[in-house]
Amino acid sequence: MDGDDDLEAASGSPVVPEQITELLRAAEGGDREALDRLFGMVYSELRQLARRQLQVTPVHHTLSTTALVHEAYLKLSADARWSTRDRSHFFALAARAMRHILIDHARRRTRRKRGGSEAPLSLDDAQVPVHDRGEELLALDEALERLAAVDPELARLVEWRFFGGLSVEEVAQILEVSDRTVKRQWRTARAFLYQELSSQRFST
Amino acid sequence: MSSPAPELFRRARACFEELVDLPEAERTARLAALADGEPQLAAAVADLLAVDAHASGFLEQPAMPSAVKAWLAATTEETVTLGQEIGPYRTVGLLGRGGMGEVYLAERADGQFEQRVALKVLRRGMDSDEILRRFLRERQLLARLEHPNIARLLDGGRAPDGRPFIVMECVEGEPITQWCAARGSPVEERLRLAVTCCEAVEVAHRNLIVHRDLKPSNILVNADGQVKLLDFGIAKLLGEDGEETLLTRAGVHVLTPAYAAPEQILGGPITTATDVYALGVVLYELLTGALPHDRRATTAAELSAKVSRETVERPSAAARKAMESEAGGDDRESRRLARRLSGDLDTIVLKALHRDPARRYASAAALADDLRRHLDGKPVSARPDTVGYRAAKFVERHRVGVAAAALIVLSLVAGLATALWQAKAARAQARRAEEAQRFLANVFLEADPDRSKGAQLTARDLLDRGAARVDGELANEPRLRAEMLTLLGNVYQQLALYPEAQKVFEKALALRKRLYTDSDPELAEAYRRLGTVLHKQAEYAAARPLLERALAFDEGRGDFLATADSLNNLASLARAESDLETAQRLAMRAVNLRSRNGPLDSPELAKTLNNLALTLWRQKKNAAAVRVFERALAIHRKNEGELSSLVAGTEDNLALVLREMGELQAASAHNARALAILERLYDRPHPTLAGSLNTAGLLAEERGDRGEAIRLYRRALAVFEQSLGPDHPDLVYTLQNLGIELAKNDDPQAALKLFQRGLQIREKAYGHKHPDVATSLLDVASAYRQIGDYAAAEPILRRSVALFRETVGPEHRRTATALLGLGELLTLRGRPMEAEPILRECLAIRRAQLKPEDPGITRAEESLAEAQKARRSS
Repeated sequence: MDGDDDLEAASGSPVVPEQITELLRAAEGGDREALDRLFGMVYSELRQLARRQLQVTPVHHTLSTTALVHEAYLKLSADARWSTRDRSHFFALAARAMRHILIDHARRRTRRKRGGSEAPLSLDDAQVPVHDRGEELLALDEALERLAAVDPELARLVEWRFFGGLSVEEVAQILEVSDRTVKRQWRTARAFLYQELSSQRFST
Repeated sequence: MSSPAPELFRRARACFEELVDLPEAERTARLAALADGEPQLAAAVADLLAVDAHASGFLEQPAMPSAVKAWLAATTEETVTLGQEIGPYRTVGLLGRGGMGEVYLAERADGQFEQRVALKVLRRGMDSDEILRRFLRERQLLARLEHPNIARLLDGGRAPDGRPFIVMECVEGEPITQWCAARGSPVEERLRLAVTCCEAVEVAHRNLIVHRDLKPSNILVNADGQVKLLDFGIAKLLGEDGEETLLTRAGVHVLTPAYAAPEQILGGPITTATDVYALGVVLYELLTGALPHDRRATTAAELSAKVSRETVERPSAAARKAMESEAGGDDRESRRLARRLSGDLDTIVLKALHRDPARRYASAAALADDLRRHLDGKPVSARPDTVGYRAAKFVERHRVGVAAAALIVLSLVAGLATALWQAKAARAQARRAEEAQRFLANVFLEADPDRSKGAQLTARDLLDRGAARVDGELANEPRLRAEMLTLLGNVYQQLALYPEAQKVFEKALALRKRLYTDSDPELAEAYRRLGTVLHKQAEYAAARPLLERALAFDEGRGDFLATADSLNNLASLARAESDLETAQRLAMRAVNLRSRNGPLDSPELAKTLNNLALTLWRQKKNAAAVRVFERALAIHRKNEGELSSLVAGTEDNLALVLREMGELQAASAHNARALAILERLYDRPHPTLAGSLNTAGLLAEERGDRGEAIRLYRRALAVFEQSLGPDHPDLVYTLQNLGIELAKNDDPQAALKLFQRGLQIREKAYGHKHPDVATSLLDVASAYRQIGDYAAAEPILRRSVALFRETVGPEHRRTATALLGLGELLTLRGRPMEAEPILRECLAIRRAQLKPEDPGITRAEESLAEAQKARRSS
């Protein structure tokens, strides 16, 4: 079963900003169902935006999650008055959704490549990307899980910055701490992940 | 590596964030303070800091455009419909579908030209923007490539669905292998087609375009037998993602496993040699009907593993097998083909398929040249690899008799023969080179058991035979004789057979003195060689005048690079004699000469820098040594890529210096990189890897992790044994390290065994009169002492003292160490009266040579006081 489609099915009707705000608040209050619906909405919004961007992007413009997440934010928060708390909640969701999208896809892709029902590569004409980004991304995701187990705060930071595309300044604003603090935390998180990933590489 | 416990990590994180912005010195001090109380925490923080130094830029690029696109592509695949307009073209038919995308037959939609083209629409999921950007950058280069055998690139752009497309000259034809198979082409025709391919590839290379994905489906032959190469430069447009990678590894490479060169799969630099390899594979397939390797794999990791293990079967053998496996294969026919291929063609193909890009043909033109020579019945240049091949075969048959080192030697011989053959290209020396080749081949043929009547010959025997025959066989070729003597000397020297090397170098020098004048480089070389081998035997006084003379000749000729070499040799000599100031001065001069007169990134400069760094290290100018090692490292890395033994070796040297500086985390990081490189580089045990494991053991010891240190030393030892054999002197350092740790771990019996083995190895290698033998005697005695067998320890210590006095002199520091051991033992044995004068002698030497606060002096004083006390109380 395709993960993408599961999530898309959950998104339901078109997004109305007021509804979003309502859901956001309910989710903040601990409403599981609201959170799921919201997640579905953000997810499908991101996807639509990405698809559209792809069609209009000029040659020299690169598609990035930063742009996607911010555009989704602008669109979904339009007309609504969001508190800092709402904003941070939204970005957390968007980053998580982006992570889901990318990791799900990478996972499916690597699974497919490892055989499964697909015929093995023919000797003559198969061109394979030798250094597969998908595997790299999955390794990062796993390392991020390990980071979450020892320090959820740092793991969240990585999710926001790497998958959500938020800048240091934005993170600082949302968390109401100084840029310096975020930068230092970012360095710790990065060192942790680098260590995890490179030790993996050395052992293979 | 397992993740740390949350509690430990929380504290490590707090420390890290506190320390990370501090100046280096303060940070080190704080870490050291922390290590006293909480070593585990300190180690975790040190690890984070070490990693932080390399992690800048890592994950800095938020999000991954290509990952986003890959996802979108998978959910939104669109195909071009026939008749659709793409740019100024209209698709009229589908030519094929492959890994890169679809290829359409198309024509100009505006009817401007009656031109039919092949229009390639690239697969979704590739980074379209980046590809288009590269296309725009490369299109001029590619458009300039006009050659009758290369399909022209005409145009490119973005299709309505956003995917990039490339337009090329439309070529009708069949893949070269099919074309030949369908017509049952004779070998000569296949070879001529291959020559045409090589020539076309050469033209592209001269235009700075590497194909990167040559394979039969990109080499089409039309009905008239005309060859066209497709997709030149396309692989580069698609691969090599510069911008976003996790860590520092290379980006996605598009390649075809069966035809890709090892460096493409294992991540080395892509050069024209990469295309030479692919041409070799196509040639192999054309001649044998089979591929040289089985590279079927389902994951990238599996493919890499396969490639790093594979060997190539000779085409003649492969052809025979391929034909015999065919139903109703004609036995006579297959024998005939095998005979046709064996010899030149085997040699040529294997040379093109060499694992090491540097040992392949230097260019596609050189490969074409050899194929043409073969077709014309002339001798081919690839001969020397036949010598190498025979050598390999020889080693294969005598695996037991030939030490691992011999492998290196034999490849060295082949290497020098290659050099001679390259000299042959200069024509003037052709006859000499042929003579040399014949001589070498004969020496190796002799080694063939069929001819040597079953006698087991070692590499040493081969060299001895060569040395014995060179005078007779090359009596009329004195210049060549001198050259061969020099070659044999080099090989002897590589085998550490210094007296033998010296003998042939002396002969070579005598010959060249008659043949050449002072201004000929050959004469300087002869002096240099003999001087170097004398240096190796510690005959420094004899070596110096020879090396100085070589220097004078080199300077006289105004040959800066040779002068730099000579200076470098003299610098090494001065270092060996512990004249470190002279060593530094000479090495600096060599570095300056090379920097001013040669490229700033030559491997020779790096070696000179390495020599300088070793001297600085000995001078305890550790910070400067680090800087110089780093410069050498940068050059090696640039020249060789990451996967290089020189890079790894220098990394490991850096680790050792940094360890002495107490920079353990940096040292560990360098050592870890060295290990990672070496483990990827060598598919069999290799002494450099063992050395690096030994360094890792030292670092573990330094961290206080004895268990890990022991484990690493054991591994180092195993790798040394498998690579150098059980009796090589290089093993002894690791035996000592392991023994010392086992002794500390209260297992002196095990330590004793190791030390005894080390002693035996050294006695065998160096004879009985060598200071290293005396050191091994000390080790053995220390183990006996720890066991409590003082009676056994005493005579050994006495031998050690005597040997040190004889070899390094009575007032040497090493002699003092042996005296201390003997004195202390005598006190322990209840003979303090005898101990006292011995300990006094030790103390006197140490006071004369060490700084007053040196702990060595205190130790000697304490031992002496102990002896005096024991005497008074008895």
